[in-house]
Amino acid sequence: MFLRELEFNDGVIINEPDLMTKSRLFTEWSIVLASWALWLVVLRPLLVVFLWALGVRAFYIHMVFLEGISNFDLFLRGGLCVVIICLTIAAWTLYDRLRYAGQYKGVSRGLAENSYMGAFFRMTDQDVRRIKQGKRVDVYFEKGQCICVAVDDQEENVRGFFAPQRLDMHFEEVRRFNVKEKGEW
Amino acid sequence: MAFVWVFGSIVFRLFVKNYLPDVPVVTGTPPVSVLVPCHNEERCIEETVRRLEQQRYPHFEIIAVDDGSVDNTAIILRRLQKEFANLRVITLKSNQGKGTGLTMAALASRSEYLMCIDADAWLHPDSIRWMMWHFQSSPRVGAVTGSPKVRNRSSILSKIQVGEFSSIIGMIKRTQRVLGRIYTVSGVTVLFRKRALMDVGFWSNNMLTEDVDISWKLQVDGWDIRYEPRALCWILVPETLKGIFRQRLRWAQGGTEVLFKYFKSLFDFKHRRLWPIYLEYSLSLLWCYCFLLTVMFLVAGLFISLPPQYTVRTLLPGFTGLILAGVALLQLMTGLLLDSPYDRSLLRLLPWLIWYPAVYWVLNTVVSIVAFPKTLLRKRSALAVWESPDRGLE
Repeated sequence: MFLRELEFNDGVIINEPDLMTKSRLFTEWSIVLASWALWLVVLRPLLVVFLWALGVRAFYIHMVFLEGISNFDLFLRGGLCVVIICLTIAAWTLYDRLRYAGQYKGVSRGLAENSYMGAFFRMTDQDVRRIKQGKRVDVYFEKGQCICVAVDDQEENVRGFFAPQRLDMHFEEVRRFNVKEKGEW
Repeated sequence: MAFVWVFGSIVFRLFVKNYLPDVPVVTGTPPVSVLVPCHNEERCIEETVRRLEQQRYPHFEIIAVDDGSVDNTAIILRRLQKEFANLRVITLKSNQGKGTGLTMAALASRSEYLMCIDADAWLHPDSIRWMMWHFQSSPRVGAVTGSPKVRNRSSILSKIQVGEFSSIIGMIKRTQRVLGRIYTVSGVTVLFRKRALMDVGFWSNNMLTEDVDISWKLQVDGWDIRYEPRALCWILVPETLKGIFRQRLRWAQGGTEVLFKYFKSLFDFKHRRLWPIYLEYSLSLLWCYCFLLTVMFLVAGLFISLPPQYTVRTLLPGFTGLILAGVALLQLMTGLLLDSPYDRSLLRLLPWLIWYPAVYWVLNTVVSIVAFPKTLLRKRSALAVWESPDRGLE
């Protein structure tokens, strides 16, 4: 399914190098070529080892004469780190599987009901329902962390409270209205 | 860390049980509200809405949030409302920021599930179905994040970011999913359970990256966040250095804000699964400042004589460059192979993607160094309002 759909002629991918100026094109290509050259210099020892597969002498020069094998403890420590990382992730995954596999974790906390939403924003159930039914909703932000919501050019607006930096005030109102707040998992 | 991402991604691919071979059947197809916050999006909002109407999910509504736009966004949305019956428009009369826009849209939404995308993002027709399946598999799932893919690939900067989004970010999310907690959802494509959002008080309006903040809010409250690599979303990325720098600076500042905000919650043992994420971010930040110190010693050494243990002769890697290059290649190739089934053109970009580690490391190092003091000096109560992003070459 994915291989058939994601083709260039689907119109999703934008690849238009014509949009770039000639100087930018020249600069970018120069950078790519110079960077590839630098990359090959960095990888040269590995390339040499692979190209001269039976080149024991090349191996000796790079690994012994040019301080490679004298850093054997570096390789040892590095390899040990990699092994520890892999074992840790594997152990963590195994622990999760043994501990939680097959368990239906937690009960549902329920849905986002109108009563909860209303209490949170200090509106009534009916107000929340009106807003949900509106196709065009305008929101005005007033002083004192109040919001005024106009629904579909109706005359009567909905007034509410919105203070995202004072969530304690929102949840205090939820508790006041004795709305079932959070359940336990 | 490269080995952590590589191994974790392989474990995710091989052993994570929620791997289905085909588009899942969603029981009952509960309705979904697709929230599209916009600010001055006259260029792309129409195409985004038309693409959304092609979703292969039967019951959904689209709620476009016009957040204080001063261009023709409102006019375009009103015209589209006449054409599409399931399009609703919320207008915020002043620029309040994405977080507030999403909260108001959540208040007005009719569905229990809220799909949040950006105004320039194109959602794959099956993305909602891929994500909805997770909610039905467990009542504890609070959010499912999808996989953003880069659309614009004209310049080298965008090609490099293809590698970043398609491989590295995907690998990090896969590994974090294996470990149990995700650092952040991708704000450009994420499906939330409304109840979960209500329990944590919806989005903050003063955090620069509301997606990172909401992710930590949900996870600290005990909700589970999942990653679905098959829920694709095509996005536009900056194609200028200035644009990328601004974007990454905002991300870095947002990440640092979250570090400070949730520091106290880490002392609770029940949040132990957040420790590795917190530790990794903190160590990365520390590494950036150690690199800055190294550069300072290099520069100082040009003018004054330093003790041998502080002398830095060159920043170019010597023998260890071989190890660095090999590890970077391993990480990149693993990411590309894992993601190539979802994007056939990915492997064609290899000659450019090979530079991704060098560019990413340097850019993010600079950005992290700049972001940390900026975050310390930023006023906590300041609203995080919209700024016009770089959407690529035009």
